[in-house]
Amino acid sequence: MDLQLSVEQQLLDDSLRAMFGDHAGLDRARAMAGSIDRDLVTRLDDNGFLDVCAEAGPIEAILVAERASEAVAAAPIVARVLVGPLAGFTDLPPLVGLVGSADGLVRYAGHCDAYLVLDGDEARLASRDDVDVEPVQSRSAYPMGRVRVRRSESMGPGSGHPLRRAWQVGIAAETGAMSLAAVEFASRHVRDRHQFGRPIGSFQAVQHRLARSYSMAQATRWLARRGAWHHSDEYHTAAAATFACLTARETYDNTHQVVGGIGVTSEYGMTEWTMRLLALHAELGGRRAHARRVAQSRQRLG
Amino acid sequence: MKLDWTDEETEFRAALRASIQTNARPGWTLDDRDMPEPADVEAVKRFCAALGEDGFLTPHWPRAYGGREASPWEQLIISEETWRAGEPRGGQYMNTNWIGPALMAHGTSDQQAQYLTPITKGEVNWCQGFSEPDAGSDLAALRCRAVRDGDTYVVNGQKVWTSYAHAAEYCFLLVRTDPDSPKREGNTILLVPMATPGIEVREIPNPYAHHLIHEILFTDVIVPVSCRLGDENRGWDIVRNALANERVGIARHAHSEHVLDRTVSDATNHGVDVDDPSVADTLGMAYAWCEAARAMNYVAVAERISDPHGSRPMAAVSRSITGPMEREVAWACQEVLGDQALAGGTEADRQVVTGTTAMIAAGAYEVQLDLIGRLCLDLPRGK
Repeated sequence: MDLQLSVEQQLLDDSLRAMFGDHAGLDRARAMAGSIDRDLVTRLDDNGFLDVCAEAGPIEAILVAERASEAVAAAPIVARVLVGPLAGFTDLPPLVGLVGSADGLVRYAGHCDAYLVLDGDEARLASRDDVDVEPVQSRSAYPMGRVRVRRSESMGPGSGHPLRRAWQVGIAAETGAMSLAAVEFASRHVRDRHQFGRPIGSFQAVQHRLARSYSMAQATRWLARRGAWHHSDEYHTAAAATFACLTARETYDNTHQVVGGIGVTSEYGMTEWTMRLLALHAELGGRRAHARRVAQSRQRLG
Repeated sequence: MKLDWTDEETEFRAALRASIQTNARPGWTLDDRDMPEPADVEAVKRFCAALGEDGFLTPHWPRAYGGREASPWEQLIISEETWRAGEPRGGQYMNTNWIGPALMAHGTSDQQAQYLTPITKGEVNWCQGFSEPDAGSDLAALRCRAVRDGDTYVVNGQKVWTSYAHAAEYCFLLVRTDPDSPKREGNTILLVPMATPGIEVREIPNPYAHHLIHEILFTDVIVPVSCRLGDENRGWDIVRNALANERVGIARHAHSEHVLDRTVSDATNHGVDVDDPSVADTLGMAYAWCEAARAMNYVAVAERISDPHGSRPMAAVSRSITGPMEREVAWACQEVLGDQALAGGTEADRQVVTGTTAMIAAGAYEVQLDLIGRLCLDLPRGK
C-alpha cells in the first residue's frame, strides 16, 4: 500500500494545476455559461492529457479529473479522460457524453462528438450523427438535454457493467474535487465575513458544518481513487458513488448555509460548484441506486 | 501511488488471521473485549501471549525493544484483523499502540526494563487515567492532584469513564502537579500500580455493557517519584502525542463491515428480504460508510508515515468519518432487523454500544471538527 504520489504523478499534478489555473477556473466557467470550453479540451488533447489513463494509469486519470473538477472546467473532461478508458473504450474523440437511460438528462448534450450509452447490460457507442438531442432548460450549471439514440455500436454483452462502474468512479472523482473546492471557497468567506464583531468562521456552528463537509469530501476523493484502482469491483465503485451523493448533499447544504445570501448569487460564484453537485448527485440513478448496487455486490462477494 | 497490498502484506495478513483463528477464544465478541469476567481477563492475556509468540503483538516496535520495525501498514493490518475478530487483545491494543511507544520515548531505562517486556509478552493490562468529571474533552482542565512529598507523590482525585480499569495492573495517569500553571502546563504522567493502597475502582452502571466504564478514586495514594514518566509538569506533551497515536489505525471499519455481514445473515434467517430495494438501500449506505472510514483510516496511516511529527490533520478527519460510520451501521442494523435487533447477543445489539461510544470516547467528535476547522480550513479560533 502506498498512498503517496510518485515523482512522475506529482509532476503531472503540478502541470495540471498550472494548466487549469491558467485556462479554467471560476471566471472562465462563468464566461462559458451554458456552453462548452472547446479551447480547453483542445489544449488538453494537444498536451496528451486526455489519454493518460491508457498511457500512465487510472491514478493519473483521476488526477486530471480532480483538477478539472475543482477548476469547474466547462467540458466533459472526466467522461473522456477517466470513464471511457476505464470502461474499455479506445480511440474516443475529445468530447464524449454519458447517456444513462432513454429519457434521462445528459450533461453537455448536443455539444459532444460521441456518446457512451449504458443500455442495460450493454455499453454502446453512438456518434453525434446518430442521435437526436432535445435541449432541456436546467439550473444545474451544465448544458443539459435528452439524447435519443437512433443508431449505435454495441460493445458486446456485459459491457455495460464496466461502463457503469467507471461512471460511478467519475461521479465520485468529480464530487470529491468540487466539494473540496466549494468548502475552501466557503471557508474564505467565513474567515473574512464579520458579524457580531468577529469572523463568522470563529463560531463553532459554522466551523463544524464546513469541517464535516471537508471530511466527507476527502473521503469521497479517496474512495474515487480506490474505485479507479479497483474499477473492476463494483463494491468499491458503487460505494464511492454512494458516498459521493451523501457528500454532494452535505456540501451543498453546508456551504450555502454558512455563506448565506451572497452565496446564491451568480456574481459570487459558489453556485458554479454547488449546482454541478446537484447534477452529479442525481446521475446514474442517484444515491439509492448506487447503494443498492453496493449491497448486491457485497452479497456476491459473500 | 499503489492502492493494493503488496505480496508481503497479503502474506502477513493471512498468517495473522491464522494465528487469531488458532489463539482467540471461540465465539469471542466485542462484549468480551471489556473483560467483564475474570476468565475474559485471562483469555486476553493468553491470546496476547500467543500473538506475541507468533510475532504479531509488537512487530512495529523498534528492534531494540523486541520488535522488527514493521511498517505502520502492518500495524494497521493487525488492527483490521483483530477488530474484525472482536478485538481479542482486549485493552492491550493501547499497550502496543501508544503506551509502549510513550515509554520508549520518555521512560527511564529502569522503567523500560520494568514495563516493556511484559507488554511484549501480553502479560499486563493497562488503563488510561485521563478523563475526570470536570475534564472530559477539555483534558487540560483536570484536577486530580499529585503533591510532591520527598521521593513520592501523594495523589488525590478521581478519574472517570475509564475502560479496563477493573482488569488493569497499571494506570497511565495524568495528574495536576502545579495548579498555578496555565492549564496545559503543570500536568505530569505517573505510572501507577493499580494495587497501590488508596485506589478504588468502581464500575459505572450503564445499560450497554458490563464493565464498559469505571471510575477510579485516589485517596492519599503514595506513588514513588521513580514512577513519573518524563519531566514533572510536562505530561501534556506526552499525552498529546499519545492521543495522536491513539487516533490512528484503529480499524473500526473492519468490525463494522463484519457486523453488517452478520446482520444480513441474521435478517435472512428471520425472513427479511435483503434484496428488497429499501433494505438493500439501507445496507448499501452503511457499507459505503464503512468504506469511507477505511479510506480515511488508510490516509491517516499514510500521513503518519510521511509526516510523523507534524500536526497530522488527517487523523482528525479519519476520526470524524469513523464515529458517524459506527452510528450509521448501528442504525442500519436496527432498521434491517427491526425488533430482532433488540435481542441480546446479536452483532446488531452490540453495535448499539460502539455506535453510541465511538463519537464520544478518545476525543469527542466535536473536538475532531474543531481540529479540522483549524488545521485544514484555517478557520479562526472562537472566543
